Amino acid sequence: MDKKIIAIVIVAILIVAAAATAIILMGNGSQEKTVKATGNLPVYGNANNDDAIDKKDVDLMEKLIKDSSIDRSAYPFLDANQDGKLDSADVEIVKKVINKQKCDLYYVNFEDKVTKQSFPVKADRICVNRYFFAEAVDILGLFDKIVLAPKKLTEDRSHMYDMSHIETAYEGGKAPTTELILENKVDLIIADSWDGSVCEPAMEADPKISTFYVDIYSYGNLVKFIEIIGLFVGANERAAAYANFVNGINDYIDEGMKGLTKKKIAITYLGSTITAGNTTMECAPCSSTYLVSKLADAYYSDDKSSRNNRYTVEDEWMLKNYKIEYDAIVAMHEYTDTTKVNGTYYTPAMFNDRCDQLDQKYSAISIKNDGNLHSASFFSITFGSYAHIPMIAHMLFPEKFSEEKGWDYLQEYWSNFSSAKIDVRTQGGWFDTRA
Amino acid sequence: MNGGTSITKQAVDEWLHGEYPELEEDLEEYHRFNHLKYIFIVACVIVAILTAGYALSIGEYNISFLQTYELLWQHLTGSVPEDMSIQDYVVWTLRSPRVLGGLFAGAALSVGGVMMQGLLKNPLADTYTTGISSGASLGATLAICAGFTVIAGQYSLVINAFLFSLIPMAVILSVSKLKSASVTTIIMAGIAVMYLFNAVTSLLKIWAESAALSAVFEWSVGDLTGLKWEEVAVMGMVVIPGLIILYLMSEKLNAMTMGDEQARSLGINVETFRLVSLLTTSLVTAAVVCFTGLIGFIGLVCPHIVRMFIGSDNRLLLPASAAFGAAFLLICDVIGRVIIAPSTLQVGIITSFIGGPVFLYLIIKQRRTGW
Amino acid sequence: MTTIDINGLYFSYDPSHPILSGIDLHFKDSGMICIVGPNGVGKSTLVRCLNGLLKPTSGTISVNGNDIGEMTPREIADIMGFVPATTTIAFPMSVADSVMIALDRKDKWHTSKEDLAKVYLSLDVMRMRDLALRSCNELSAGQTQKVALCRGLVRNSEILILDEPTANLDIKHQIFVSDFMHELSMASGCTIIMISHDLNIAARYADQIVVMSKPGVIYDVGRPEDVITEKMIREVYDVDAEVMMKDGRPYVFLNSALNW
Repeated sequence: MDKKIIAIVIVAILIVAAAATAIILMGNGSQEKTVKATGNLPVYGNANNDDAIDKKDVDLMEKLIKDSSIDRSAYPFLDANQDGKLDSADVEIVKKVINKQKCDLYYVNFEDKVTKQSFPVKADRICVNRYFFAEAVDILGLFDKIVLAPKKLTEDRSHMYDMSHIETAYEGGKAPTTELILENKVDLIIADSWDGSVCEPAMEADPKISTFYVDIYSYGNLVKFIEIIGLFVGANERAAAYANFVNGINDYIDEGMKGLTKKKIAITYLGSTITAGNTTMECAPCSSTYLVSKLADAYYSDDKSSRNNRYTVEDEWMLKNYKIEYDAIVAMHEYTDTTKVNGTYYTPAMFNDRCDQLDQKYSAISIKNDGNLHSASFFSITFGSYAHIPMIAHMLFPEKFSEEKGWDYLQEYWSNFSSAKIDVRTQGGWFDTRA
Repeated sequence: MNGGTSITKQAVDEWLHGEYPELEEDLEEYHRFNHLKYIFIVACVIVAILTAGYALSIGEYNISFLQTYELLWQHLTGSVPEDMSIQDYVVWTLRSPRVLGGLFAGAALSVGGVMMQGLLKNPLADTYTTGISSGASLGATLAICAGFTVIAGQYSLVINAFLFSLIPMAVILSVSKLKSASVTTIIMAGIAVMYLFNAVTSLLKIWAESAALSAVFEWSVGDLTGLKWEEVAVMGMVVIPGLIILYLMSEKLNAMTMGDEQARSLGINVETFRLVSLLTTSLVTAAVVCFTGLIGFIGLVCPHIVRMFIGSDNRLLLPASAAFGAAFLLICDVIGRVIIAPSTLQVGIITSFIGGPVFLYLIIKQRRTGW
Repeated sequence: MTTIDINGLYFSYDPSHPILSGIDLHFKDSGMICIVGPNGVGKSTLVRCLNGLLKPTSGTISVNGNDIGEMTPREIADIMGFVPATTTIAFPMSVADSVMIALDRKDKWHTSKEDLAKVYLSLDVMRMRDLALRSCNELSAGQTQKVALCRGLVRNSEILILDEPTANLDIKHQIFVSDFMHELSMASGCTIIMISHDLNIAARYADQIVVMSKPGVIYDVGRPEDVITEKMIREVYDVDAEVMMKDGRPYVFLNSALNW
């Protein structure tokens, strides 16, 4: 009996160790189809890989079917029905999409997995699992279709939106329960990647529900989400407008960066208080690093501790490595932008106070006087993230990018893509406006 | 003097012939004494059933009490009407496993507590004393924060939690083979592993991103939400036989609480018994914890409450604790679902909230010094 | 017929400090055996080797021809009962339940009437039946000891080992318990092995007395009148005493300690 127990224990531990080794060596494992989407609408049937499924795709597919010698490598999304070949069946599907008829489509999700989704998606009763998903719904012009949302939206953002159409608000800032989703007869859920255990049972119970999983924290490509969801809910024009807006910003940046070298920066994150002694940096794959990638290279650490997005160092390290590992700091402050204070918006003056505090943190080095200490709101947690980039550009390259344009782009986002009416120059805490 | 006095002769005579005048009366009294205990057990079972019945009918999805049972009946007879498929799903797939799982979990954790307290002769022991909680936490944290799981797929988190929760037990077993399966060895080995595991878990949590961190925290609180039938079936397959085995050992457990010497002189192989019952208890607990997360206080407080009514005879204490634990956990779950409706408070929070004050009350009110 | 054979028994935790140094004892249907000797001489160790609680460093112990070392705890418990000197109870239960623990029940599922009757009978014999439903931790030291004795009785073992069973009892109980055990061994044929500090009790009730002396050896074995002598008391206990006979049994009158 004694020897047996020891043997069993040893064998069990060996199995665990072996499996662990195998998994580590294998890496992330099962991915059936790894597709690099070059466009922002990675839906099979989007033959020409642009931002819409339209007649151009039908023409291209027919051309390719006729002449099989043409090189297809530039067109990864030909196989609309995922049967392994390109034929008239695929063309049929594209035609159905154009005519808004029912069919099954396949798209590549943010985890690079091919996902099946029926088309079109009804979006009359929407559930948003995080308050910032409401912005996505707003961009698509469907804000008043939200019926189920967290109190982080309905209570904490009551100064921004008219939310009388939201029928049920639930506690906390995460997902609701499955029963709540079913009780509210939701037909579309915008969910976080962690919410599968709540959404899957809901869809199993009521097959009419559709879910789109959005990851706002990594990789920064929010346009993709908007375009995909826009396609399915029939808000193509709004999605296209958003895409154009973002492309416009990218062009503006590209133009201004001609002949300039990217700066080396550290992107830091600050929560509700400015902590003493430590600095938390955001490293790839945080969205923020990708958003600024045309302007600057954000500090990246190979250290295992930065495997997840944030990397905390002692302030001493920051002081020591100024002008060595980074030349400028772009500090992101959370709980400023549209945060409710005393029933109304956070103010620019309050933001400036925060900036004053931040100055203290690095007062031992010359970073502030060199004009290399910049502050902005936590811009990666919003679908308006791109609209902040022109101002970041102005901060880093003031000679090439104007402050006016910085404000204009941000204002354009809130004016054209949101049902909340904000004057960004006077409402909210966005950027350091100290002279 | 080779004969005894007449008094002792009479006593020995009485002893060897097996009766004395008041015997019947005494037996009667003993049975009466025990009757109350049986009534307690039956009462707990009834409360558990009633609570389960109520729990099935409440939830954010509005279904009336009668309709709930109508649907249940329809599901079992395969005659659910077309337009009620969502309600059927809610009652059968969302709520029923949760209720049944709650019963299993409550019974398992409560009996686990009784066993641990008896084995370690320590009123503060509970199912987590062998390091199951730190093991399961580590397994879950590894899965959530580092994506490191022994087996990939849908149940990777659960399997991780299960396997890792048993590692401390394995260490205790091995150490016991080398040293001795005394109470001290077990407790010390368990604590050593617990500290190590907690350290690794903390490390993972420090490096984790916020979404992962909150997922870990949520897991650790203990929740019956989202239990599926497959999971409850697995739980049942381990818990039911496990509890039966532990019940069969309950008599010997009585002897164990009297000390190793007394137990051994009654024919019990003390070390084997201790290890086998620890292993069984750990498996039963692990099978619950890996699905529900850490639900605290059941294993610690329920046995003591039941002792106030039943006393410490483990043959009655075990079934009573199972019934009471099942009822208690389910009541806490119902409270959690009702108190801030339509949102749900996890059952682990409720048990801790209730457990603390109840424990204090017990300590103060106990007239008979049970410990 | 019960035979006990101990051959060349050595026991030590540490080789340089032996506790038992070569014990040879042989008993056949010996009725009540009392083991006496000064503190620390190894009496408790001896009986614990006898019933398998301790493993001898060398030597064999056989009961009815079967080697104790080869038997499982269960098999040993079937023939030998043991009443330890002290009992600790972590979670007190009722007196009746605590005696029931010692029962060898055929039926695991419930307590049969016969089993319960046996428990109550033992309590009655020890005059504890009024306290049957009392919690164990409400008993006095003497009462606790009597309950332990009940546990010993209830198994009807062939050999019953009692480790200082009268230590906490008043004189009436001391006499009664010792007498009862002796009478029981006569009437049922079982062997009682009792460790006692009281030479007079041992002298009065034992059929055989084993005197142990340092360093863990047998000084003498035999009938009380042969073994309890002034010489023995001087050499083994280092005490000056007078021994007188009454009704064929020796009585010890203590005078003084000799060396300190």
